Amino acid sequence: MATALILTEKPDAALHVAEALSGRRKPKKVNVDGVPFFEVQGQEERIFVCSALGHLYAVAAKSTESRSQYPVWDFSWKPKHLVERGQKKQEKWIQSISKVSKEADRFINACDYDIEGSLIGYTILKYACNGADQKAQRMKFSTLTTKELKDAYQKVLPELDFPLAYAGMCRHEVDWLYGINLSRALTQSAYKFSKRYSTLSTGRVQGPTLRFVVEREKEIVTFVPTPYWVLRTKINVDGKVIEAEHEVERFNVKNEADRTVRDCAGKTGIIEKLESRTYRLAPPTPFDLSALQSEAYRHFGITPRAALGIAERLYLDQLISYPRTSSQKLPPSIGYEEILKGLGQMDAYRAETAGLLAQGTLLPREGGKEDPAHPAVYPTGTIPKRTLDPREQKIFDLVVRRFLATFGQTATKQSDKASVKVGGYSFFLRGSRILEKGWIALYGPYAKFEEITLPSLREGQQVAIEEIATDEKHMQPPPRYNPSSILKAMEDSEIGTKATRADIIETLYERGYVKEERMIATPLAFRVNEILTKYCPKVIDVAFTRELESMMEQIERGKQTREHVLLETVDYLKPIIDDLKLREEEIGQELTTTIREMRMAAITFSVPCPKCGDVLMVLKSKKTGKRFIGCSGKWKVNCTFSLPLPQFGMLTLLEKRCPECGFQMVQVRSKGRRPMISCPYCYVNKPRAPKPTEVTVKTPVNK
Amino acid sequence: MDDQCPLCERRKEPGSEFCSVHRAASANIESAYSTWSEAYGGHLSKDEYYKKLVALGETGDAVKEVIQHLRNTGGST
Repeated sequence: MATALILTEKPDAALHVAEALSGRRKPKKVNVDGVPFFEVQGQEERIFVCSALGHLYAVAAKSTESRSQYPVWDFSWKPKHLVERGQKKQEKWIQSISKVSKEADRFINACDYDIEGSLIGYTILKYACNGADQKAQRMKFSTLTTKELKDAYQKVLPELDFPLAYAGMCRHEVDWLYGINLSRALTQSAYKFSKRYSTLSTGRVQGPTLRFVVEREKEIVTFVPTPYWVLRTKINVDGKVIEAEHEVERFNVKNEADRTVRDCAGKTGIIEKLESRTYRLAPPTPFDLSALQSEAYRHFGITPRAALGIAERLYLDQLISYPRTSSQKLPPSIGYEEILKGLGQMDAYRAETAGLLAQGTLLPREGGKEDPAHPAVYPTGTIPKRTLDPREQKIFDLVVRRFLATFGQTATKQSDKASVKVGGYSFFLRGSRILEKGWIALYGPYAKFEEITLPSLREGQQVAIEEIATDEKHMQPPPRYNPSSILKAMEDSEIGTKATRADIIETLYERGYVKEERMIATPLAFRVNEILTKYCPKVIDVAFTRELESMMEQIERGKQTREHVLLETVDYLKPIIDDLKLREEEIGQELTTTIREMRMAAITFSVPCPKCGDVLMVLKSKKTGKRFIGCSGKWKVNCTFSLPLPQFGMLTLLEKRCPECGFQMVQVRSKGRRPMISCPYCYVNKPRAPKPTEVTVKTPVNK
Repeated sequence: MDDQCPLCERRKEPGSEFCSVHRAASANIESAYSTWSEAYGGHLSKDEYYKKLVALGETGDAVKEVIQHLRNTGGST
């Protein structure tokens, strides 16, 4: 009997594929040298299903010279455990897959259908399965439901999606060439000058992204606000006091605002005109990944990377479709009615789904964006088999409600405007209300509209100015980016991919280039950006990065070759890196002062020691290696003030003060977790719940 | 160092006493003065203007540093 080997990207996906193909029988779990495989007895073949652990192969320098050497232009794909630390498990995986592949006659790549999934499967089949990439087949699916997986197996594509895999390879290789050479140039320049090692990095997408943040920071720190005045007016309509707007929204000259107040105070006016307009509000388009990440941040404060992680867990639980998509389309083939019926099994969506099913025709509103590999993110209609944690529940509900809303009717909104004449001045009373809720009712808490109801008014009605005063205001600087708005900026500029943008933002934090949720560019970010602008401006040029992206997209479409893009990249980078190498000392000098200052700033508190008034710093205990807050007064006046600190994660001293005690707050960021903000002073000094009273039970003694 | 901005560790821009950031702040202070002066009916001295800017939360940090520098050195933008 023939044997097939199916590769999936993650263990949960392997289980779902095995279950789907084994019918009513349970797939057999077999252990091959410590690596789990599922064995399924099909009608015509024996099938082994195995999961990868993400990428098992990575780009690395061909030679094994020192890690500080650059430039590096020769590379090859090597097993990940040989080039990265902490990848021991991967070695075992490669050996086991290789062993099983020797028995296989047929190979199928069932990793996620996108660039990364195609590349993961391709490299394993090529390097671990003795060139099986040339005869392997490809399963294409967007959800892990039994029906879709069975279908994908039966209609398996005859060969691998080579253009997608080559585009993925090229992206990794180009990013590696950029990252390794530019980052080593920065790190080595700083090291050679200061003889202290600090990891500095930049990259093809990281550089332009950092530039966004730095440019914005520059606008903010050099911002000069200008004044303007607004009128705060209240009008009395038959005893009801309503806020009104003056026809001039902003007065640029104080005297003009003051004169208006003098002329109108205590006066009566007349309602001259009543107007009403009705607006139609179209339903939202289905979620692509960016829109999902943006809404998750807006409604729940969940960062883009965390939102993607949660969405992937929901996908592996068969609850939603594949989230790494740029599509805003929901083709009928996904089975609208079946999904709605499935969702209707859940109490929370019963009424909404019943309403939609009763509509008759189901036609979702779609957006313009398409993705050749996947539709937009949608719920599968499967009921969760486990209790979702609160954040998973939120994302799940958001995806479901967005899906329902796309099928909703257009909503209508009415806005009312009454024009009031007071002497020669015009004021407006404004109201708005929803006439027909349509899709707004389906989107639930995620569609918020403020309704302002005006009392019954008539033209010619007399009203009185109840209160009128001026308020001095000032123009605001542009807002700082947050993880969601920077993601949007990257997407609008077409740099990075849906799969990599969130990680790049996280790297900016890890390298100390930005801090706090409202992204503040640090002096180091300014310095690195200045150096890149001065010595290699094209590296941070958005247009050039976009051009490279477009070349790589052409590989996906089979219109460009990987070799051509790589040659172009090396041709472009070579003179830049050679020049950076010649200027190591100059660059090192520029970086070193900033790094030193950054190091000090990162551990120095701006609040003084509450005991002796000296400087508080983050110190490390020589005895235990634990970090804590200590006072530099220890060496002067023997001050013993100290506070404990969280021991794990990246610690940042925030500018924010504790609202309770005024002490400087700290933030801890750990990979895959929400940043935790706390006050070290309150942590120690807050009153704790009293310990439960101890009850001593005397053991009866038998006399 | 002679080529260092007096307000930070960055290098001076050619032809300026400041680095690129503080030079931009200085230029913004200069160009916004006429708007402020007009807003107050032409009765706003530079001293009052600086005082108002320093007191505002919206004013950028680099702008406040330049104003402090101007006050200390008795210079003007």
